Parts: sequence; C-alpha cells; structure tokens
Amino acid sequence: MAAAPDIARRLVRDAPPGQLREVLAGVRALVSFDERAAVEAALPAVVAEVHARDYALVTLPSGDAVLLTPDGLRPGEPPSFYDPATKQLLDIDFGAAPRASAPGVAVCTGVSPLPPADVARLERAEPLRAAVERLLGAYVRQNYPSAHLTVYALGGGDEGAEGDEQVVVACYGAKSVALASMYAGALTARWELRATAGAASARGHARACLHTFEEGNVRLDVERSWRAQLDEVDGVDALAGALVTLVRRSEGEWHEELLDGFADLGGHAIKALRRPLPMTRTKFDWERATVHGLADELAQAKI
Amino acid sequence: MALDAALDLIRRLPPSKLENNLADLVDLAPEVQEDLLSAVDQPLQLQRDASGREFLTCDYNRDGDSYRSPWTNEFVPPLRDGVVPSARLRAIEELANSAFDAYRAQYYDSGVSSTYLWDLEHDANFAACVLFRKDAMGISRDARGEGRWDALHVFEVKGGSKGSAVYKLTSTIMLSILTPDAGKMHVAGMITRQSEREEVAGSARQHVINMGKQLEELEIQMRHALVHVYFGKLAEVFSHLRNFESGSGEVKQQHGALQASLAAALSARGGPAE
Repeated sequence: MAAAPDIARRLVRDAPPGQLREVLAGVRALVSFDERAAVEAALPAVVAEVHARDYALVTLPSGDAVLLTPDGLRPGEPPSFYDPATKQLLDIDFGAAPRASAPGVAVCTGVSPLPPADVARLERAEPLRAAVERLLGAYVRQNYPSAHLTVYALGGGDEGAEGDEQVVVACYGAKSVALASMYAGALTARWELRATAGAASARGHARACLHTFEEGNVRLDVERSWRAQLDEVDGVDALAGALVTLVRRSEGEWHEELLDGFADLGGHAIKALRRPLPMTRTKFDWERATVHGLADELAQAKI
Repeated sequence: MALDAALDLIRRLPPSKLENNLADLVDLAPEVQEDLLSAVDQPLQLQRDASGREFLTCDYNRDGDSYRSPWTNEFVPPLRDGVVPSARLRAIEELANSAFDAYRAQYYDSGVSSTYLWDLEHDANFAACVLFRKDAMGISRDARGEGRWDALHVFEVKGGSKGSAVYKLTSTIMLSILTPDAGKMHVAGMITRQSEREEVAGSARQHVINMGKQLEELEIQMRHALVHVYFGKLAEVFSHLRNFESGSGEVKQQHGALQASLAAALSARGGPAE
C-alpha cells in the first residue's frame, strides 16, 4: 500500500485543466487525520509542479502577465520562478495551503530584481529573445485568443546554451475552462530556437488536454513534437521570423490533423469497436435469437 | 462526504487510469471501499474456463478469488460450494448468454460477451449483468491505432402488476482509443445511463427478449452520445483554444462541419448548445 503523501501527489498531478482546486479539495476530504500533516507537507511542491506543467498565468503587481513554466523555474525550497521580460524574481502563492485565499490558483504576491550576475548571463541572447517575443507574440495573439506567451533567453552553462550558441525558448498556453458547463481544455506549446553563427535549428512540442464530464468522464490527450533546421539565420529578426514560419506551418498542419482525428474517432474508430447497427441495417432479432438453436445461426450470420 | 469526494475525483481524474485511481482512493480512505467499488464500474478482465472458452469477470460472477464461467457454470480456479444461480435463473441465464452472444457477434463482430444472473430476496425478483468487451487493432482510417470497448449493463428485475416485470437498467460504457493521428492521441472515457421499463414477462424467453430490446436501445443511444455529443464537445472545446478564422479554407470547412454535427446532436437531445 502506497503512503498517503505519494497517493496525494499522484492524484494532484493528474488534475485535469482548471480543476486543481477541486482535486485538492477531494484529496483533503479523503485523507485521515493521522496522515493530514504529512500530506499537507507534500502538496506545495507538487502543486507548484502542476502550475509549471500547465503554464499557469500570473499577473505581476505592475499589471504585466507571465507564465509559470519549467523554463522559468528557479531551484530551491520552495521553488521560485522568474519573469524573463522584466528580469524579476516572482514571489508566488501557489494556492496549495488548506486555507489559501484562492485554492489551486497561483498568485504573484511580489517581485524582486534578478541578481545582476543572472541578468548579465541572459543578456547575450536578449535581442533574439525580444525579437521572438514580438514576432511570435503576434502569431499567438492571432491564433490563440486566450493564450499568453512568455519567452526565455537561456544563459550559458547549466542553463542550456553552449559556446557561442544563443538559445531562446518560447512558451505559450491557452485555456478554456467552463466547469459549470462541465468541460475544460488546455493547450501548451514550447518552441526552442538554437542559433550559432551560420546555423540555426528549432524544436517544438505541443500538448492538449480536453475534458468533458457531464454524466461521464471523457478525456482526450494529444501531443506532437517537431524538429527542423532553419534556413534564415542572418539577424535576429530573420531568425525569429523563420521560427514563426515554422511554427505557423507545423501547428497549422497539426490542427488540421487533429480535426481529421476528431472525425476519424466518430467514424472509423468507433465503428471498428461497435457498429451503429448490425450489417443487416436492422435491429437485432430478439424473437429469433431466443428460439433454441437459432441464436447460434444469428451469431454466425455475416449478412 | 468521503464517498462524494471520491466519486467527484473519479469523474475528474483520467479515465485511462481508473483502476489505479480507485486503488489509490481506497488506500487513502478505506472506509469508502465497499460503496465506491459498487458505485464505479471497472474495465472487464478476461478468463478462460475448463472448456477453453473465454468469459468476462466482474464482481457479479466472483466468489472469493474465483470467477464463474457463464458457459460451464463452473468456477475458475475451481471452487467447491461457490454461489451459483437457482435452477430457474440458470435456465434464463443460459438462454440469455446464447442470445446476447449472438447480439455481440452482430454489433461487435468479435469480442467476448458474458451474462450473469443472480437471485434477489423476493422469489420472483432477480438481477442480471450483461458484459461485452471488444479489443481491436488498426481501427483508424489508415488502419493504425488500437481501441477497447467495455460495456456493462446491470438489470434489476422486479415483479410488476398482472404478470409484468419492471426492468431497471444501468449501463456503463468504457472506451479507450489510442491513435498516432495528429502525433499521439489518446481518448478515454466512461459514460453511464439508466432506463426503466415495465413489460409483460411470463417466461424465461420473454425476460430475455425484454432485457435484450431495452439494452440494445440504450446501447445505441450511448454510442450515439459518445460520437455526437462527447466527441462533439471535445472538438468544440478545442475550437475555443484555437482561432480557426485564421486557418485555411479546408480547416474552416471541417470545423464548420463539426460544429453543425454538434448542433444537430444537441438539438436531437432537446437541449441548447452550452
């Protein structure tokens, strides 16, 4: 039997889009008094992890918005995040405490400047970061009405860039949550651009989770990855533009495939599992099937 | 309250992990075990009896660690004095297994069916569950992907007035489809519906006919709901995430067709679009 904190972590990690608060409440209602302290101690880290995985959006005191993502995570206990645009560390209330003012919702409670050494390390790729933020931002606003974009410039060494390489990571997430109507959906995408003198490449990963739970529980999870070399590598605007062209083409094709996939689910896939009617196109003959010996004949019939 | 919380979690957590989630919830709150496991259906498991024929297992044919085959009426692994239906019910059960397996062949092509009956307190009353499981490969348009369909239909049959019987049916369909379409796509779901009817029932044969017609109608409705309501809703949710106005003409056309299909399904259901 697994320990209660491990179970709580598993269940919280599986929270569907927009329902972290409900899953936390459910877990707390089931935990025994004896296990409560251990479970509460385990929750903040996994709640922060879920916020980062789902690209939770927080608003800064300045009114600017930023996503919490694994790329903006600063190791520590508790974990913290930073905003790559304003170069600030974020104080986040993850909504994990039993009496949080907004349970399951991440809220930025304050900011402080990134240490100067960190800012200096990120400066090298800042022009490319800003160009991607501007050009990809236009694409995101046009195609994902509810989405927000956060773009990181990775520094050298442990942060992922090597030698003269410039690395920029763009993250965006869109959500549609209507729990009163019993549905929710979320889409996240991460595109990483790596550029050195004369060569550039990009890779992307997107995932969507769609959930409806009226008189049931039906969920679709889909994900897709891409990798490509970029032709336009001269100048930050050209590089950012090449990335946007790749993203537009890749995601456009993906979304067409998704719509095909939806149609295919309702057509071929379900039909292969259970027909809408027998091949005879008439309902089953129960009178005949219940006459001794005739059921076997019906079972063999392939008309 | 704990049971409500557990049931609420079950309708939110991934249906593809239903069995693990149930085990976790029971570990977390052992006091809900009995009620939770009787309220939530689980995917069906296959067994093979001494005659070599496959049958489906669930709580209704379990006694201890053994499961009764509907074909041989024997337990696997063998169990002395395992609970079996009365002779009267076994006669209905044999006829029902024969008829529902023919139904299975017509609607599912392949797969396995099993029907179990058990006595209720009142002499004339009984309960039944009819199970279907189908596993299939190559189910997408380009012959890729795999899927699984589990259907659990549980009847409570009580004597009605003047030779009739009241059939209360609770049906659950569990579905899993994994396809390489659009990358890696996994759809998993479970839906439950109920229906109740009073029908003339003077013989074993008439009971099977009545249960069969009721089950067939509800299963058709549920399949229709999965395709036109649930999948339609998923497509609609996706359309809220992505603005298709900027997409190609073909994308917009497909999206429009999906929305029309969804609207038609909702209209047939008698409710407005949410």
